[in-house]
Formats: sequence, C-alpha cells, structure tokens
Amino acid sequence: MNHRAPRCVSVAVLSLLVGTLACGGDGSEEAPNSGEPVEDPYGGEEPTTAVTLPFEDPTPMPTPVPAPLPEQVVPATGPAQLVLLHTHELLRSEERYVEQLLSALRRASITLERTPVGDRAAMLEGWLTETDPARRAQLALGPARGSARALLVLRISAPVDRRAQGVTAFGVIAGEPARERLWAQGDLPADAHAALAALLGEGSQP
Amino acid sequence: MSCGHLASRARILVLRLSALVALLGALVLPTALLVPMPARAGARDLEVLFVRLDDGSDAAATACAGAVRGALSRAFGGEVHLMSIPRDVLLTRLGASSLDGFVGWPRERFSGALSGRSAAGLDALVMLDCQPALQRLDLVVFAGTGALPSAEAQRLSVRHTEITPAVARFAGSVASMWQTEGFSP
Repeated sequence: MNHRAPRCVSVAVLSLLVGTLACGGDGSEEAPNSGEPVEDPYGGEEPTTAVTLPFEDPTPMPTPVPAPLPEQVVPATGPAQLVLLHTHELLRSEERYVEQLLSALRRASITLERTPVGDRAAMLEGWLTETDPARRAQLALGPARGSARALLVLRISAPVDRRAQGVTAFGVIAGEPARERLWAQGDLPADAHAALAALLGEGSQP
Repeated sequence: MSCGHLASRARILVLRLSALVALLGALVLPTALLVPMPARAGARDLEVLFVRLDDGSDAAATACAGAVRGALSRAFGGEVHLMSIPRDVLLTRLGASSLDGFVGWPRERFSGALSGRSAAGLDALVMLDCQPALQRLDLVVFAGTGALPSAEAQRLSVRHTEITPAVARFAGSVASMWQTEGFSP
C-alpha cells in the first residue's frame, strides 16, 4: 500500500499536466465562445453575442434557433411598376385597357414598367382584400413594393358569364418606407387614368 | 305651254325641294347630336345623395369636398339630381355615434341609410371624408342595379399623401363613375 500511493499521486499530477496542456491557450481560436460580438452575415442591426458560462457542461448544446432576420431593406430606386393580379388569361379588351392606362399616364409624364407579379401575388391580394385601414396599416408593404419607386396594382377579375369584370380593386404603394398611398375596391374608370398621375408622381419619376 | 316645258319646270322644282331638304338635314342633324335631348318618356335623372363627413372647419377640406361634389354633378351624360345631407343626419340614420373608419365598415353597418323611406328613389349614396391636414381622404359610394337596397360598396382611401386639387379631382373622377354603377335611365 505504501508503494502504491505515490504512484497514484504521480498519475494524478500527470493527468493534471496533460489536461492543462490540452485545454490551454488564450482561446483566440474559439471566437464564438469568447463572448465577443459575432457579425451578422445578413447585415442585421443587432449583432448576436454568444456567451460561455464559466462552468459550462462540455456536452454539445443543441443548435440555437436563429432570431428572425430583419426585413431586408431594398433601396427604392427602380422604375415605377405596374403589376396585374389576375387568375385568367386577359381578354383583348382588358389588354387594351391596360395599354390605354399606360398611355394616359405617359402623357401625364409618368412611365410605368409592366412587371410580372411573381411571388408577391398573395401579399398584394391580401392587401387589396383587407377593408380595414387600421389592419392594412400593420402590413409590411416593403417586400411587395420591392425596388420600385412606386407600385401600381390592378386586380382584374375573371369574366362572369363571359362578361368581363374589368378592374375590381387597385392601389398604389410608394414612399420610403413603403406605405399605402391609394387603396380602392371598385373600378378604375378610364376617365380617371390621367388623374391617377397625381398619386404616382413623386414616387415614379427618376 | 308645251308639255316639255312643264316637265322641265317640275324637274327644277323637285331639284330645289331636294336641295332644301338636304340643307335642312345638314343643319338640323348635327344640332340634334350636339344639343342634349329633352327628357324622353322613361328617362330620368340620376338621384344621388352626397354626405360630407368632415366637420366643415377646414378651408382645404371644403375645397376638396367641393371638387368631388362638382365632379359628381358634371360627369354623368344625363342629368344628376345631387342632394346633400349633413353628417349628423347620416349618423342618426345609421344609429351610430361616430363614423371613424367608415371606409372599412361592412355593408350591414350602412343599412340604415340604404333602405327605408330615406333611400327610396336614390340611385347612389356618396360619403366623403376629406382631411387634407391629415393627408388623408376616404370615400365610399353605394350604387348598383336595383338602386340602394341592393347596392354594393365601392371604397377608396388615400393615405400619406398631400391632398392637392389634382388628388381631389382624381377622387371626384372615380366617384362620378362609381355613382352610375348599374344605373339605367
């Protein structure tokens, strides 16, 4: 027994030495655990900070759920756009109507770029369908507006009994931040096309 | 007088008469097309009720309401019989104490103004709240086939925008067409 005790002590001392060497260093290679701020690769405003507790359990931690990314701010410098919401193939009369609208606005010095709605359809339809102005004010319209200075949206409803329904809702999103300027449920009569320039003006010119 | 002579005089008379008829036609037809015809049997005015919802204290709001009201009375091809009632009368008919957010109200909340004696004979109800100081304009027009009891709401809101005369003209232009929705003289 007297011979074994010193051996145990030496093994313990060796283990301590090896452990110290293995865990040594200044920790500079482990930035995520150093308590330093970590830069958000998506350019978020609030940098995330990882903190290591002094007596942390060495077992691997579950991957933390990332915080929701802030809305990507796209500078609204692109040309003003016209987007059409429809679920049917446009009739010739409806195409003519759109061309007449664009022409009337061009004569009023407003040029709109006709753009496919893409993945914004549901968002814009939801906005046009919501009748409560207070609820509409809560909607984030930035992604729907995209990079256009101003966005004119027309909903052209599908014909009923072969009769064209024409425009049944329309609106304008413009400004910085993107906000509703005009919202309507009803027809946009041809007589009002040129006058619409008053609501597209500031946000549509280069 | 020979028969030949008589025939030639008759021919000249016919020619003169034809020329006169042609001249009258040329003068009367364009006039008939340009000048509005008096009321025909069955024809009637568009009966519109206009309600201004601001409190009337702001001169800019008054100008805005005037522009929209003017567009309502001018635009229809026929005659518009445009009547107005004060905001308080509308509140009484609706049984409401406030019209805040009226542009988003469901149709049922307007039923007091869309049916009954007060709505009889009306083709359209136009409600306008123009607030240039708040950069805001709200408009609701009820019109449709079968007049007010079956009319659907047409709604327009302008937000975060200076209410210039041009914006008021746009609202008036839209409202003047909306008021004729489903109208048959």
